Amino acid sequence: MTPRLSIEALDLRFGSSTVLSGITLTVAAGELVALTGANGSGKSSLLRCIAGLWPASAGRIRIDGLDPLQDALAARRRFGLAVAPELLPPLLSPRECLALFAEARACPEALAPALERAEALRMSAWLDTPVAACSLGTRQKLGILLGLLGDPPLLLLDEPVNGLDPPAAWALKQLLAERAHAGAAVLLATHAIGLAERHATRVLLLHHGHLRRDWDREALAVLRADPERSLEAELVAAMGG
Amino acid sequence: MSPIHPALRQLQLEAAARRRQWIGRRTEQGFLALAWIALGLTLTLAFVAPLADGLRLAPEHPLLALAFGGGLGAFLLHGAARHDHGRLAPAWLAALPVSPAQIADAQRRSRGRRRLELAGLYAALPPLGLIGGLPASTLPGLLLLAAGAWALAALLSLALPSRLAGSSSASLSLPIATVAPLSGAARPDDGPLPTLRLWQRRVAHGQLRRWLAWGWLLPVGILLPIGSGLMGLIGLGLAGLGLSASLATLAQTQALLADAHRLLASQPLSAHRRRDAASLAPWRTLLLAALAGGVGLALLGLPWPMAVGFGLILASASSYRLALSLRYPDQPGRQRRHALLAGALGLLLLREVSPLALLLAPLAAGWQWRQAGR
Repeated sequence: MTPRLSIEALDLRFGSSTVLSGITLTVAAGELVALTGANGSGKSSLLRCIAGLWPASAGRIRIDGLDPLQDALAARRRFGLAVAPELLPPLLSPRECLALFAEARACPEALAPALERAEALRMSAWLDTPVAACSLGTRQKLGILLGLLGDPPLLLLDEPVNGLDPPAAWALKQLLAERAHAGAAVLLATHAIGLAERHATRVLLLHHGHLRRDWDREALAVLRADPERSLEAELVAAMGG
Repeated sequence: MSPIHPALRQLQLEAAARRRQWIGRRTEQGFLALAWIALGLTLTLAFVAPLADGLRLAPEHPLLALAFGGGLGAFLLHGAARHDHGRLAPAWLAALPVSPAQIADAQRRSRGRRRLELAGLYAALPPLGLIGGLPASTLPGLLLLAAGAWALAALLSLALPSRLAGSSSASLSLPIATVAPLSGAARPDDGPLPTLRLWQRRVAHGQLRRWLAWGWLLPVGILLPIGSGLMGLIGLGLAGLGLSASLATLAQTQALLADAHRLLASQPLSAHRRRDAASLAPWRTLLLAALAGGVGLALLGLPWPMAVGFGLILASASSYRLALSLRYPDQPGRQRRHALLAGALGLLLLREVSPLALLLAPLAAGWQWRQAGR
């Protein structure tokens, strides 16, 4: 079966600076993968490469078998990227932002489910307020809803629980687990160890642009079962802390 | 002596970084500067000449000319002060303990710099006017206007320092964000992306409110009755309106397209669908603005073929610029370089080869348009 996402020997360089080096990775349907690592380790850069926003210097990326640069439109229909709060247009309301994305994805029928999800994330009261007047948490929720719009088979999220209140963070974790259960693949970059430890089916550590460690479902089960061990301690040790 | 206001220090560091960048690319920047000068001189030649009659007669009505010049100066200084206020109150420095002495110092420096800039501008006006083709007989009128502008601007900046030169101490240290209520709604018949069109309309409304930039037209416009009649006044109004509307629409579209590009970068939206959705409304405005500009110049007394030519140039140049914004939404520097080089080349061909070179302008705009959809 074709993996939702496959990356082979990916390099990303800016001039003489190497951001990502030799990244090889596959994410299958139903996986919820947490990508962790120190600040500046390349997590967000990797997500941007996958989304085709930055062309890789070398290597190959496939989304459901499609090249995000060569088959950009088809590949972009297969993934959703949560939008960073600072990119949201201040003069539109969250409802209008969702409508804009539904128009851009040519799927107007996706708007109603997105509005229902807004209720689950407790942001219905803000749907008709200008984005400029929304709190950081509300904008973060909107960015996530935009990424989820149309239920794409691959979800890419960058620090999704930043700024979320506990009920919304909980609702988001349930939502991501549901999407994975329904056959989507989720790849999220995060520093939230709790999210990675308890909800991910796999955890990756990116260190100085290299994939240094990979905790699969079994390794995570062992960690969860042993009260003497924790993912946090293993991450810190793997990062040389 | 108290330390410098942190916002001023930030501006100084940014200016130093820009200087280093400039020096690092001095060949390219020097070439661009030369192109700007060539373009500026040619435009001066085109736009200053119609004012010659009014300027020649200005010394006969010295008080009127001084008052108009003063209005222009006050308007420019007020705009500059508003701009400075924004620059002196960046949100990231808002919580710093800035003393009243530092704020007063920042206001004083800001006022001084602006007065110097105004003085430089007025000093440059007479030689620019003469180079641009104004007869020497208009020089006293120009000087009178410049003197009025400088005197009133300096007087107002002394009399109303807090209002004209950077607002109050409190607002310099604590910027307050205001959020306008949302207006209008997306219309289903508004092209492929109606919500993008709604976004454009909201930005355009905001821009309209800032179109007080037209204020510079008032003093210049009132000069005309000295030399010409009501039709001349209407003509200048239309020509100014056309030019202002073109510039404002292009600036607004460029900013919005950059934001929309960043927001929608990961969406399955083809280049031609994005181009078609984002370009219709600004293009309509630009064509209307070009029409207004052409008619305005004809009413000002320009022969009809020249007025039509001007309208065509304005329509083609603004369409070209719009297409560049659509083609390179996230590269404003590249847009500027392309536009500047195309403008300088176009003017060169027009002046040195043949007026028929004008026909190349719509073709060039059409070509950029096609490229923007690929």
